[in-house]
Amino acid sequence: MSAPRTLIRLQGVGKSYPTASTVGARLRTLGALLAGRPLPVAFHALTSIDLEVHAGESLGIIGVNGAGKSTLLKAITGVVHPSCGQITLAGRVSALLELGAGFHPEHTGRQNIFLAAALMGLPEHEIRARVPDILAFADIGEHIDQPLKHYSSGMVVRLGFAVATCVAPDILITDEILSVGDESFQRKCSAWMENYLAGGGTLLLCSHILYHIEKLCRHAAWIHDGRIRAYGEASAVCREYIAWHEARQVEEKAPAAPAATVDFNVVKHLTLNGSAEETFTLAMGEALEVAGTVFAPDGRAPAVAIGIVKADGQPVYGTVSDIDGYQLQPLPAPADRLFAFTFVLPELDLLPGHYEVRAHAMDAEGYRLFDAIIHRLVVTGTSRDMGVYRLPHYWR
Amino acid sequence: MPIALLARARASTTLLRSFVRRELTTRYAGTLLGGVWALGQPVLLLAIYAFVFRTVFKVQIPDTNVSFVTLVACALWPWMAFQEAVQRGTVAITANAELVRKIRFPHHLLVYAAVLGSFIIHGAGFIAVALVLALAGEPLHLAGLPVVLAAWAVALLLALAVALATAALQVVIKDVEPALGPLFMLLFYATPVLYPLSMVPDMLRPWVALNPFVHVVEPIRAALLDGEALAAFADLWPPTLLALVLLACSRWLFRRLAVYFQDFL
Repeated sequence: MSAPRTLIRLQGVGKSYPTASTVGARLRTLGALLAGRPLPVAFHALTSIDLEVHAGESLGIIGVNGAGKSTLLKAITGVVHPSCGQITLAGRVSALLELGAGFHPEHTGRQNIFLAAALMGLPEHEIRARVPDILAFADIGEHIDQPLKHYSSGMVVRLGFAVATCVAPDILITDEILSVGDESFQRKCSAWMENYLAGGGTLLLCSHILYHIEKLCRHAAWIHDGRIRAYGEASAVCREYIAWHEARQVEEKAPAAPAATVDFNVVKHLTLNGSAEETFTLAMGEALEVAGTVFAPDGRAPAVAIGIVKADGQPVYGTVSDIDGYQLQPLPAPADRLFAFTFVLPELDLLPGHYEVRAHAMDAEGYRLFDAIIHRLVVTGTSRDMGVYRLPHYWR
Repeated sequence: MPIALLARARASTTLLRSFVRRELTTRYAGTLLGGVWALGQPVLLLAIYAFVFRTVFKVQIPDTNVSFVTLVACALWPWMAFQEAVQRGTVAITANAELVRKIRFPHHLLVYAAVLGSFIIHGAGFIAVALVLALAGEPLHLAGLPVVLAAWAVALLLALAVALATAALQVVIKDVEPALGPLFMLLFYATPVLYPLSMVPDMLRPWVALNPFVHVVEPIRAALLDGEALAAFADLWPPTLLALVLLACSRWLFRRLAVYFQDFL
């Protein structure tokens, strides 16, 4: 089998924005532009980006806000001219980034279809040939001959999507998967996208929803500070990206952690059936005893919230000590302002799987939720029941 | 690849036509009188000039058998087309910043469309006025029409050349557009629109003749009013060459700056 066709190739692409804040700076920049001298640079949006996208191998782009993802996409669509490096495109690119950007409010939907398609580089006879398909896809009825200013925002987006997809693109550039229009139009868009990908279409997806990246893209690039921080298999890059986020959150929290000086309630210690290990394994149907201590700087008995969630974060059950009328007991000296609790689930019929047990410290009134300790809980067993929890039941 | 080039040229033509249509339909969209505004404004100007110079100042134009109104009309419409084309062309990029920022397309088409739109409107006005004058019995030499057409084409080339340069500069330096208003007012009086070049004192005439637009206006008058079509044709060559050279220069300038529009908008 021959190697797949390279659709997009970026070699050492960089983009820097010139200084343009003052009149003097603008004049200097203009002089440099005309003389062909290097521009006075204000900031670098992209630095030495090398990328290749082959036909049928979708690429996901991830990164924090302001990392340069949009600039990269704009450089590939040709809206932004790179300051250095080379971009080679083979095939028709269609972007779903700015649906309806070429539309004029005073013109009718039909006139706008024409201009928008012309902006995408279609000659007149091709536009005429595609108008029926566009009308059918947008499906906005007789409104099509009304001025666009009378359209709802959903209708404008539908029209924009219909025009953007009518060109049978080789490369489709989009951010966040098609959450446009109403329920039935979204379904139409999803069906179109599936059809497009199944037909060998290539996607360039920029999204914060990593699930979409992993599901739709073979490769992913993580852009950070205008550079490619990681590139490779989509799931591997996503994992690295998540790990970086977690590490950053820990770093941000770290300075606030000196335990003795905190001025809010914290869970100091948590055990599951006496085990302080981070992961605890329990057979289905056994009792679970969640015990721990809470430090309350103001010396008033705190409340504690206990929650069980599935590994993906979906809540299973939660309750708060003061809802149940339970009072945490102060530990005897030498412990200072420490309060103990024990929470017992006599028969925990969670179905086998991975869960988390969370203990949140709350203020004495049970209003404010403070810091939490989370332990992993693995429930083992051979149950073939479905769902999350085995409800008490019998058949008759 | 000639086929790819041809395809791109056809797509560009389609886009240009769409832009021109938008230019023509949105300029007066929502107004009651629509196109009447476009045709009527120079007519009003002409009427007030006739009042000031003919009725109040009692200006006499020597060595001619045509009226003041006809003399001015020959130059006023090309001038209006030129001035409006340059002014609208100058802001064509900045006024469509949304498009330029978001979509990739040949940006110069926006400028071309603004210029063409103005020439279509005032070209139509010129034809209408010439018809009215001819019907009113003014001695117009219709054999000079090809020269008139050629002169309009030169005016169009000049407008394209100027507008391309000012449009590109306007993106970087916002002072271009406000400077154009006063500049055009000075140029209007310095150009033989309200008077024929022959009335300018001999000493000043070479200086006035430095203005390329003089050589667009004078051949129109020579052909239409004096019936000197052949001589007028010959006079059109220098401004044509000048316009082509200017157009080449401003296209270079525009191309050079166009890739950076995005950074300044």
